[in-house]
Amino acid sequence: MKVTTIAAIALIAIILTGIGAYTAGYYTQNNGQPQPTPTSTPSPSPSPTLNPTPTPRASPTPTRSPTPTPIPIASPSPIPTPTPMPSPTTLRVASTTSLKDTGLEDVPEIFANGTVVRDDLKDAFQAKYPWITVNFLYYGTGPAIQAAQRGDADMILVHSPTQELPFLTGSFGVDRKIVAYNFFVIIGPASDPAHINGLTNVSQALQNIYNYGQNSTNVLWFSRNDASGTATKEISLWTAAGFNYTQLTPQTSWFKVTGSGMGPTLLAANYYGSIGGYTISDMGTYLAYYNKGDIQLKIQIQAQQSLLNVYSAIIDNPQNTALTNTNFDASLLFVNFLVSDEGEQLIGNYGKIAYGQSLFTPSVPLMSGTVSNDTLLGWIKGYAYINSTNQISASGTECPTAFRYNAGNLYSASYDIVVANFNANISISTPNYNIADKPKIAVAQAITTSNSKVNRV
Amino acid sequence: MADIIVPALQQALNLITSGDPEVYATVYRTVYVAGLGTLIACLWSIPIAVLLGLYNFRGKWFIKGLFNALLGIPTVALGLLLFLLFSRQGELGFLNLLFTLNGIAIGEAILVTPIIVSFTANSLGAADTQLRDLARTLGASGFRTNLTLIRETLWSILLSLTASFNRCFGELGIATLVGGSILGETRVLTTSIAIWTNFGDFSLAMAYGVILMAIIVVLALIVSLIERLQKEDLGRRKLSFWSGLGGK
Repeated sequence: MKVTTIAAIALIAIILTGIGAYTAGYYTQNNGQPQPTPTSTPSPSPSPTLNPTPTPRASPTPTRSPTPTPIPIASPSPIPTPTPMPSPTTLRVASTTSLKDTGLEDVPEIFANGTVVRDDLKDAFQAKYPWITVNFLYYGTGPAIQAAQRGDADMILVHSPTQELPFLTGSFGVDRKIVAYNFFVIIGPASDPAHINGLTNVSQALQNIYNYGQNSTNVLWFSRNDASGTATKEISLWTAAGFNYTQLTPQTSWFKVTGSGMGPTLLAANYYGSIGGYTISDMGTYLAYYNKGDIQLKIQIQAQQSLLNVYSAIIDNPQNTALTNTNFDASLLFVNFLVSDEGEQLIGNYGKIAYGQSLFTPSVPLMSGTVSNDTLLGWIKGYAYINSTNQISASGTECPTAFRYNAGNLYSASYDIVVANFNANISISTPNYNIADKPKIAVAQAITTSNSKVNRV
Repeated sequence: MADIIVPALQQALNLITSGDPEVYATVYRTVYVAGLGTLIACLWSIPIAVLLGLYNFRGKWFIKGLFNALLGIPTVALGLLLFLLFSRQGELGFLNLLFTLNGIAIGEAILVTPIIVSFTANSLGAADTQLRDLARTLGASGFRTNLTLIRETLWSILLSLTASFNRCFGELGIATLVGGSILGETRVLTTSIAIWTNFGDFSLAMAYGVILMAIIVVLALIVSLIERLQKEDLGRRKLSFWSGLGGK
């Protein structure tokens, strides 16, 4: 009797497994991802990840027109079609929430007149390399690096040089490339109770906040402390001002740790107590909240050397035995694309339509010397360059030669200059965000008036 | 901040009617994950529930208590455990389940196992005593008796499956950690809400919330309607559960 019962249950189990497997199979066939032409699938060509010759894929030259044109972005470049077509592959980029606002990826905007605008880096890259699907994972810098160390991501796009250094020296990453920079801002209540507005010395400002906080019952400073690039920056600022960050938290009632992302921290800083408090934020997230009226905090300090924020790309080291399965070839293509004329242009243009100003400045023109601003270049070098003894130092380079692997002409100076010439129309001066009275431009109107948008239908 | 609710409802309607393929894909992905998760959970949950509900063995109280306790398992903790297992360096990394919909579905299946087991085992146990005696008196064999019992409680099994589906549908922790919320690939309704909240687009986040709630409410109403029709049917014609579902 019991045997028959068990047999009946097993039968049901088998049927349900079948249904599940069928559904799974159905999904993988129809998951809606852009697939390259199916003609390549049956061909027994070697997979590109096993291809030992780096020259054809590392050289982006065939995609660039030889003479720089004054038009910001030329008509979509002809897609390079190597023969045979590489088999479809997926690239996983672990990135940070603040980079979401570089226009890394975006759902296509569809306007009433039927125009479809796809202006993000992901779509532009996939249009050029149709066999690669790019997936972004949004973490803080710390978790993003961990994901790459475990091999769950193929490359990282992060903004914390002190956290990037161990990733390189631990032989987890290779081919670091600085792609863009901007500045953090310190924001606070419009009434500015600690009197920091306009100070040029961030340490002085933090000292003011500390002094005010010690004599007040209000909660005044909101700290993320979530291992993100912004949190690392904040801790370094407190250290530079002469405070011990770990002592601030338990000692003081005015110092609150949210432990969460930028958005929730901004909300906490805005709505806590009667007037809210101060915090440090990246520009993109702050603008996204401020422009919609979700927060009323004002920018108090901006564009100081100590608030510099530099974004770098680092690829998983395929020589590391734990990371041999990561997608080095696609990662290298993506890094090359980020620092190419088109990639840098897309980064530099992002925000112009939604906010009337760039949120990020491409770093290649400045670092190649095409555009000269020695002060700013000195800041970037001192903050994000690494020397041959693996120290952060202005005398170093963006990636010491020990950590370059199969990089093609990623670090060639002449290559940078070609890119930079193309980008000469991007303003490189220290950005001075002035948004207090600037209303958000209507997107559709901006589309028709801006000639700097890429239209890809 | 104050006047977000009404625009959000409006935006939800716009989202649904705009024909944006990403919205439909998100809903599809959510249904897929919840459906497959519930189905996989059935594979092991129903046999366990039958075992717990109809048979007596030593230590049964302990296993039942364990499943009751697991009803309150924190989804983030389970998600983290699975994330570490599915990670490329983890014990199950070779399965390549991290950042895939099937990975989320397996996580959801584990999450709802206690729901199905507890509900089903309890209703089987409750139906047990009288019905079993009756069936035995009427001359049914042991196997037929068990089958009768299972058939009589099919309705509560279906309810527990609905509850499981809803739990999977509105679950965030596993979907975020195991799925990674990759746009166009593993982003489901709940992670859409979370990510748009983080990026400051509250009305879009609310719109996704409205869509999610609408689907759950409609599903619950359909199940209640079937229950009502079936009960009326039973009351009127003394027919079995199957005819109540429409097999007249």
